[in-house]
Amino acid sequence: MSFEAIDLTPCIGAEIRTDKADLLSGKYAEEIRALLKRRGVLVFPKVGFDDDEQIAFSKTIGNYALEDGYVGGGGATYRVSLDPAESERAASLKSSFRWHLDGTTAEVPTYASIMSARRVAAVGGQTEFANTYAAYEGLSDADKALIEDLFAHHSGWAMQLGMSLETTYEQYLRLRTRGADLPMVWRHRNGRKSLVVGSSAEYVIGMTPQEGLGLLIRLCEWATSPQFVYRHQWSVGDLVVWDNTGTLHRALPYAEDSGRLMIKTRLAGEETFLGKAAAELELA
Amino acid sequence: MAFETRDLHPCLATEIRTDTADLLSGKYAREIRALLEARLVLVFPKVNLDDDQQIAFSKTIGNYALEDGYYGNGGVTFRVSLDPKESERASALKSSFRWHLDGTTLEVPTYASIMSARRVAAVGGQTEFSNTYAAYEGLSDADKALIDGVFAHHSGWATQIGMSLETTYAQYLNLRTRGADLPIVWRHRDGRRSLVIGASAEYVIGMTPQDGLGLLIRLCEWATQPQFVYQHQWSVGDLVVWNNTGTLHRALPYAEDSGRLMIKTRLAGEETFLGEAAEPELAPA
Repeated sequence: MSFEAIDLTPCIGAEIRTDKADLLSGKYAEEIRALLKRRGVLVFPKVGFDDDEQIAFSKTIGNYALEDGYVGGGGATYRVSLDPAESERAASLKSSFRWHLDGTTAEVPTYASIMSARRVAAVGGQTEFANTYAAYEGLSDADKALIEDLFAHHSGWAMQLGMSLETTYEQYLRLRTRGADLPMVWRHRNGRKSLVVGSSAEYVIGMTPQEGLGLLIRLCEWATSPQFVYRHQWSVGDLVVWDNTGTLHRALPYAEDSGRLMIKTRLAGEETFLGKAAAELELA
Repeated sequence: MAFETRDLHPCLATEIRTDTADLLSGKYAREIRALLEARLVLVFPKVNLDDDQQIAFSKTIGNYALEDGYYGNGGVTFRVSLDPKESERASALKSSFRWHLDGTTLEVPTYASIMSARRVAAVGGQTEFSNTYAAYEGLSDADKALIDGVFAHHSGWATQIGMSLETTYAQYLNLRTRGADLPIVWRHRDGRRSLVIGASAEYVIGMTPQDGLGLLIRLCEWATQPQFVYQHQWSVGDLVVWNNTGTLHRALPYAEDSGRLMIKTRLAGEETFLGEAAEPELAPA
């Protein structure tokens, strides 16, 4: 089989059809990297990788890294499930139902995430992706000027807001250990600009809470309007790769007992939110 | 029947047993008012008042007022239910699962709420009350000094945080129309002090978000410890009156289809959060 790519929406997402062997050998790695930059999300329908194959494929397209270690030692792959029997992070995973990008409190955010479906939910569980490069480009000049030099504080606290009815003071202090001030406009090394918004954004520095939250909510609503969004309906065996530096993503709600199980690997970030090359790449 | 009382918890809540006729006539209104000040939560087991009787009783003990009107016209009683068929406010009511007091964005907060159970949930749905006078008194001197003169912003936004996964900008602006800066320590007209905290408190004025939210969470956790809390397990027909100016309350979670239905009336506030006397609101004709 050759290498075929088909756009999934005008703004974001491409489906790639090729041989499993070619994916594992890295034959088309350069094409895949280039498409990931341009299309934000790449879908490989029903390739049916096992864990080792997913890791091998990940290594062909970037700096395969262990999962963020903030809940203990990361494994070679990360099992994404709401079922506590499957994942020790199950309880905090409902925050993935809100639009976010990964690693906003890490020094160098994940470059790309690679996720495959082992079991899918009968209802819900689709993943949606929004193109934050296009969302930035589409802003009015007034809004571009407004946010040009603004920073927002991102925190573990903001991510978990509303996930439980009451937060204990102890939980609060722990959530507060993860936080960072990030520019709202990410000026990438390659000259492009994307929006850094989503559920981890807590407040805008230098604005009142009223204005700042209003701005964050308005920008997130804009960035996730339908023209910027691709929704992936999972089939067992699908593999999806997304550029975490130019997208927001969320899962549509699904039940704890839905059985949904995803296997996730990631590629280490290559630049900071300030567009500086990561001095030392975190390698697995 | 005479007028019999029994304390339900060392710190707050008293059960009152008396005749329905005496409740409606106001015979013991003065005793009830005094107990509402001293004990904050009064339980009248299985008195089975209907709507008219609940209104009549409400009028004997204070300035019966219409329900807060922020979603349009208040009715004479307010049907508390998570079922959208029963209550047009159903979708906002899940916020009652978090500790709060009523009317933090009103100029004059509700003095007391009066709630009776028409139908109860098989699982959950208890109401918990905490004594914010006692919680203030129990603070360390350092904490009393820390919060002296400090204000927090309370908002409709904070009350509804986390009730839905995403908030639209239009919803946000709507929630932002309700907000007020309130002292963390309420110095009441009678000289007592209580804490003004709970789910509606969004940030502390003059503190970083980090410090301010930490303080609010720590104080709320302190004020809702078991030694300050009475939990009411509802039976059909129970009537509970609580002093909204010296308590926090919350419902324990229950299902939308649980059938739980409460009838609520209220007594208008008599003082502001700054302890200034307020003109009583006009009761409905």
